Amino acid sequence: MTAEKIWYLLGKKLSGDANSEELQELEQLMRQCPDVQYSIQNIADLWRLEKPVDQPEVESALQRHISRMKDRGFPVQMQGAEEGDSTGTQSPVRKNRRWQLVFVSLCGLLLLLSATIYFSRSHGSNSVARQSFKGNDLQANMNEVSTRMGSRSKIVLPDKSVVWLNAGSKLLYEKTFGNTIREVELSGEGYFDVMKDPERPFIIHTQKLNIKVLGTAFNVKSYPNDETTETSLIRGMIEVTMKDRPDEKIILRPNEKLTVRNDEGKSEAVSEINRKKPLVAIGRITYEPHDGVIMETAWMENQLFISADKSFAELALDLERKYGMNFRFNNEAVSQFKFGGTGGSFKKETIQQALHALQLANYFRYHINDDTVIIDK
Amino acid sequence: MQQINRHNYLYMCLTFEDSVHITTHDCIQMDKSIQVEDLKKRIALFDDQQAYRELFMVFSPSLQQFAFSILRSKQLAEEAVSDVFIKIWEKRSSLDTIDNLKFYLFASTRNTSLNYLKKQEGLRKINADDYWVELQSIYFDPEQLMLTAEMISRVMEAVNSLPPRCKLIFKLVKEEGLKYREVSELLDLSIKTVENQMTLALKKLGSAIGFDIYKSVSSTIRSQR
Repeated sequence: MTAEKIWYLLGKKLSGDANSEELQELEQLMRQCPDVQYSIQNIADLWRLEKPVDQPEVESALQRHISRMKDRGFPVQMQGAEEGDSTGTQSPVRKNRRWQLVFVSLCGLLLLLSATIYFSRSHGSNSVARQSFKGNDLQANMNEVSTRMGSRSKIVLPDKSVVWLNAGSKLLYEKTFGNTIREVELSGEGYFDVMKDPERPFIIHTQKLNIKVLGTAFNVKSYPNDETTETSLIRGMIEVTMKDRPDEKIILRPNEKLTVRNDEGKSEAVSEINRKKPLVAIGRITYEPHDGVIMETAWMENQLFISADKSFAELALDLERKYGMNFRFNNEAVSQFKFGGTGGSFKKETIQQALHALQLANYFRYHINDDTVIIDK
Repeated sequence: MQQINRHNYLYMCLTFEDSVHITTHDCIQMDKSIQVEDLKKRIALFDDQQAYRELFMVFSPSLQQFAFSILRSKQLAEEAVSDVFIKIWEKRSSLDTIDNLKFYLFASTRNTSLNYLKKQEGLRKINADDYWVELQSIYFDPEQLMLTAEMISRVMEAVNSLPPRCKLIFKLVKEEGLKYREVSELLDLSIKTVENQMTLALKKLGSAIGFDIYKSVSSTIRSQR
């Protein structure tokens, strides 16, 4: 009854019920009768097909459900509620439970507070999050940690959350950080390992995004002169809002990377190509195929990956940070060079060695003048 | 729409030219349980209405189909699911104590639906054979599957010819991602039965796909024994 057993084990495998022994046994049986493999492969493909969802129908079902709730006296809103509004939602049934009231009003207070902060922020037109921090004597109330080009740094915040700061980056936080709310402002790139504390959400403000965290580890790359802002989630869950679209929450899950285009990108050469890229995209974190290093966080080990779709101009920004050098392009065409998906990376290489490796992939000439690398044709 | 639901959001992203290479399926399926955990927490701790709406959006299609397979009326099925979600909102503060929210929703939908039936027809119990099942995900995109048109029709036929109970089990495992134990509790069947029915369903599918190949395999196996 080998065949019967195969289907039995396959079922367990597909439903996620199989243990490791059963999986092994299935492998073995499949090797014994290779002809079934074709069927199994197709069933596995079939298995992954999702059932189609009629989105408009679901939405109208939701509307009908909400109005049904309203008929029964639940004050639920039809449209997406603003966060600050949810104080009015406790059902009359629960009114007699005092502790819940206390909890709800506490929540309300918290939400009101965050709404106020949010409101004040959304009014400063071009402002970075700094405006949300109260008080005029900004300097006195703030801690600032910054890293020079070519150096990295690790910071432990008062709540034990850890931030690794990449080169040429800056982290600002209030001296009272963590008393009520945990807020930091980031310019540049940082890897965050945030301590779990549902009572005090951890919020990161960048030029383009606000990121709300419960307890998680992730990487944020938001250099002012880069073309995009990237948020890569390693574990946990984060909620991201774009400053200019505060109503749209984007939830990121592990292994996902959110890339948002910075329209204010400075280097003209890159922006032409970049304009064709999507404004917002959710992608996957990239693993280095050989040893499984996560490319987005490789900088923590001082490693820089050459990605296939980056132009030399974009790569130069990364090289500037790693080596603490400036790059100048005397040739437009060279600045658009790409170095292919070789999966190469630089770690211990000197700047000369790195440039030499790049030359092999796509030839250009360069010379180094003090701390400036000048690239010619 | 104020807050984009994730599904739309991904769709939006994917419609951009040369967007990132992801399949919506991977993203949605893989992290669905994390998403549900997150929604549960937001509802339980913050009375988050947005999360509540999202939870409804995630589960109502599946639950409605499940309710429909008992009640066989679209309208009643929708009401039953609506009732389930009203209960969820009422007891939201204790939602956190429910370990397996998905299974809980399916079980509540079953109970509510059976109560509807009881009121209507005075029926007490419904046998798993009496469920009316329609498989939704057996839509074939020949581009996605390496199957010929002829084979596709054979697979469709095989799936549709499964006995009702077998089809129901197959649907719950494949389309709703339920575990064997969950299916057995939900339908009041033994795990053994669920296992056997799944084995049967896969065997039928496999032989529809493998066809002549499969025949020859089973004959060689027979000759080996």
